[in-house]
Amino acid sequence: MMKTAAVIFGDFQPVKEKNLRAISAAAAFSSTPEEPLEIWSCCPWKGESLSLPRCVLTQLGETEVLPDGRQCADALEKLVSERSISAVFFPGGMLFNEVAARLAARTGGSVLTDVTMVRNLSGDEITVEREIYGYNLNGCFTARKWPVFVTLSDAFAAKELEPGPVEEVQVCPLPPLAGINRSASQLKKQDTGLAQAKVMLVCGRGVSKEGVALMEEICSRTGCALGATKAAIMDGKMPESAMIGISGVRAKPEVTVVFGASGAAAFMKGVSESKLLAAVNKDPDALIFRYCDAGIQDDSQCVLENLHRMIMEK
Amino acid sequence: MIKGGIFLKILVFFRLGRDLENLTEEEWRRISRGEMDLNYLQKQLNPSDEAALEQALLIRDSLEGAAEITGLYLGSDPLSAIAKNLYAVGLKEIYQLPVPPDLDPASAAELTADFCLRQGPFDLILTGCTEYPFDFGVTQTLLAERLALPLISHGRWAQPAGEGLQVEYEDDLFLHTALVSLPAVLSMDAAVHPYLRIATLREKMAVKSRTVEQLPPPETVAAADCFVPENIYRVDNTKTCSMLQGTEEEQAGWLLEKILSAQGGKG
Repeated sequence: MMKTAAVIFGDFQPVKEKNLRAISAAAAFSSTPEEPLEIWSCCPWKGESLSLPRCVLTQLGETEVLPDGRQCADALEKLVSERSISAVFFPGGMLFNEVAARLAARTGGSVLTDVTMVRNLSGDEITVEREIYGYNLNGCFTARKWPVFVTLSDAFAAKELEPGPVEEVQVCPLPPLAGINRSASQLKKQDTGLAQAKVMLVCGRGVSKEGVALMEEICSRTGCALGATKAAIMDGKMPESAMIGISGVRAKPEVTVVFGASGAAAFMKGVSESKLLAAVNKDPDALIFRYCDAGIQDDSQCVLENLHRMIMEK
Repeated sequence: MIKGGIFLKILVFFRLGRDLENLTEEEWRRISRGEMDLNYLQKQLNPSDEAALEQALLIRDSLEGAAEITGLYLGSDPLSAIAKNLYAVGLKEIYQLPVPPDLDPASAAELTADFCLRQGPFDLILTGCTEYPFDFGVTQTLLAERLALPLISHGRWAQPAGEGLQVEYEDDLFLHTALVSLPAVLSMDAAVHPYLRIATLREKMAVKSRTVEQLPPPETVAAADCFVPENIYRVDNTKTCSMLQGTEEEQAGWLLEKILSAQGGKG
């Protein structure tokens, strides 16, 4: 009998889709669908961001700040054991990759992180897919030690579930955090509208500071969104909230124009669903030209100056 | 331990990866079929490990040198130029544990824990968040579990503060500042200073005779199934790219037309 559980962040709108993935997976792979789903929330649940399916909801912690990974693991370890859970599904990301690994180590089970697809789940084993080699290849991984702890990539397809009653709400207090004394916790700046943009310009490492200023002006006058590669952000040209790619936003605009970026796989994941993807790069052999619809082999600065001038003349 | 006279023993464990940036589609397909030897590709420090090394040096800088940094390299490739730079920028000792480049996280954590118990104690263990080639991102967690130490798993910067370390780190929603008691494990992710400093020629000349301390190869233990990939394949995302011709003005004009058309003529 495969009893599953879903762990969710809490009632935070920015991670609503991530929460839904975990809940959807736990529901899909439960072999006890007649029973309410076990959902474990790291923060108090108010029901504002997402409608839960029929479930027993357990809340860890009483504050609106995500707990530490070890605190989470300490609390969840008891729940896994008490409720005889075979498979726990988590949203992907920093916190739960840590929590899943801790739980696997403590229980002698298996950890599968950033899973894009569950290919098979039987009583004996679970086979999943995930991206490897810097998101350039996909591989299958099979776990045979139970319980299994699975974190789900943003590429994992979630299904909307029929809302149902929360049959019971329980509280499982978090243990105190030893060794780490948090003095401040600030909510990170979330989506800046990149995910919903119709047109997006992306600044890569090859764009100069003057070029970034031109891009900002162009976006301001045309209503385009302005994103950036991780490399450009690490160089201090753009804020972190502008990051496009695996570590940032995966956008689906009508048009994306990428300036001065090489086309690394982790970045391309963030723009590959554009209807029209164009790139500007002075290197004719730049990787990005293999993955876009149109290309301009030229210095980004020249193209941006021309574009800017045309917009100002309009 | 940090005491009145503050002296920190820091371990950074790191690996090398391969430069995968410019591989062709055909090369990726051959890799997925196991038909290509990746050893000919340029080797480089795992980028997040590079951030960890630089963070260790920054901590030592802020203690005005009152820290000793040991490097543990998990891998079989010769380190040569990388080791020379690391000694030149101030690592005290570098050990090499010859293991395969795709060593699974559980084994890496176990071997590093053994090293800590034999060569330590260390006040701070630093590493990067992800590892080549499978990016499981759990080695530091398994190590912290094994050694029962506090873990900061996505550090951005750290500096000594009293008897501990003040750290800025993040999770999926929050940016935290915390005082961490030592000993602890810290893994670096979106570091404020991600790039490892480069030694001057003079600094490199001063350490030209230094070598990496070779450790005996460990007994091989089979990796857990959940860390062993099968059926590796490549999704072909290539497109036929139309390279725009014409003058620079015409090219910019084409872009502008597409932008304005998608925006409904705004601008």
